[in-house]
Amino acid sequence: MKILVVDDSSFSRKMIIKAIPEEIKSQSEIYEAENGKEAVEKYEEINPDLVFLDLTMPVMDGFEALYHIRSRHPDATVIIISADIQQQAVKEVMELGARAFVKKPISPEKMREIFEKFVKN
Amino acid sequence: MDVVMLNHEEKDVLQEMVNISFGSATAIIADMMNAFAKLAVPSVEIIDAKDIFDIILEKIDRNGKYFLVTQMYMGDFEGETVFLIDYDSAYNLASKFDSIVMEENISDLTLELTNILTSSFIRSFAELMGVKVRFSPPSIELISADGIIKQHDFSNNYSKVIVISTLLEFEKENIKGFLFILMKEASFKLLKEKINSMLE
Repeated sequence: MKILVVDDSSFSRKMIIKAIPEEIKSQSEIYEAENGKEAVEKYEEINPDLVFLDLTMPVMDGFEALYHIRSRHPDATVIIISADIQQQAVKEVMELGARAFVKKPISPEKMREIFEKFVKN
Repeated sequence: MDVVMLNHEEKDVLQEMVNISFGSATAIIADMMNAFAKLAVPSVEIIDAKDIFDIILEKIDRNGKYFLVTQMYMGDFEGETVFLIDYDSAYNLASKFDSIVMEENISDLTLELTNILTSSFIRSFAELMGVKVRFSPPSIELISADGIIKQHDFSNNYSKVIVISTLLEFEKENIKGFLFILMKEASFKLLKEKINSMLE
């Protein structure tokens, strides 16, 4: 499985990767991007099965990256992990096609739930 | 101001803690206003408390009028929050709540909203550290840059300051503010310890 983790904070990327269940991590290739622009480019390059995407980032934010990814790949599975928990932000990303919205910081339990819901099925 | 208090990795964790806490605090305000705030990544720096006035003067217009909202937080992590917002931004913020904005309402609304913003921020920040905090009542004053320096003595009571520069864009209105998290030395040491335990 290919997983793309997008966040401008290296600590945050590390925390997201740390929360992925070990049995999944050991069988996956994990890629990282520091902003939305890199995420869109990386998506084209690796075609990941799952994307974890932050919203507030420099260069290109997560809203725009999500729009570009989903316009080109309508089946893309994108999970938003963000500190921006405004109702309108949640509504907007769900309309743009995100599969789920998770408030930062993500716990291993929440991560396991995501994999059970969006990947195993 | 060029004091190395946190290494690169520690600063990255602090930045993320601020992003998370600020995101939560802004969401409460935005939802109350029934508006959407476009969040920019807040700029975060950590300085010695003795340098706070230099930083304030660097960031604000010396001839401008500002609302200064202060509030103490207490517990394992303790200190004081200082939120500085220029008069125009406070007016913009107040106008989002009231169609008729009066001078006395600006101060009341600014106190109320910045109290929610700063206390939510500190509560979320403390939660990430795994500690609990309580608050004293906040106070507000309309003050000039010189007034801040002459009438306040933050540097004697505190050791370190986290300086957060924020710009919230609510629809077409820009609201610019600075949040200073003043800490005692023991609280800074605790913060550093907690950051390092997150890095393990």
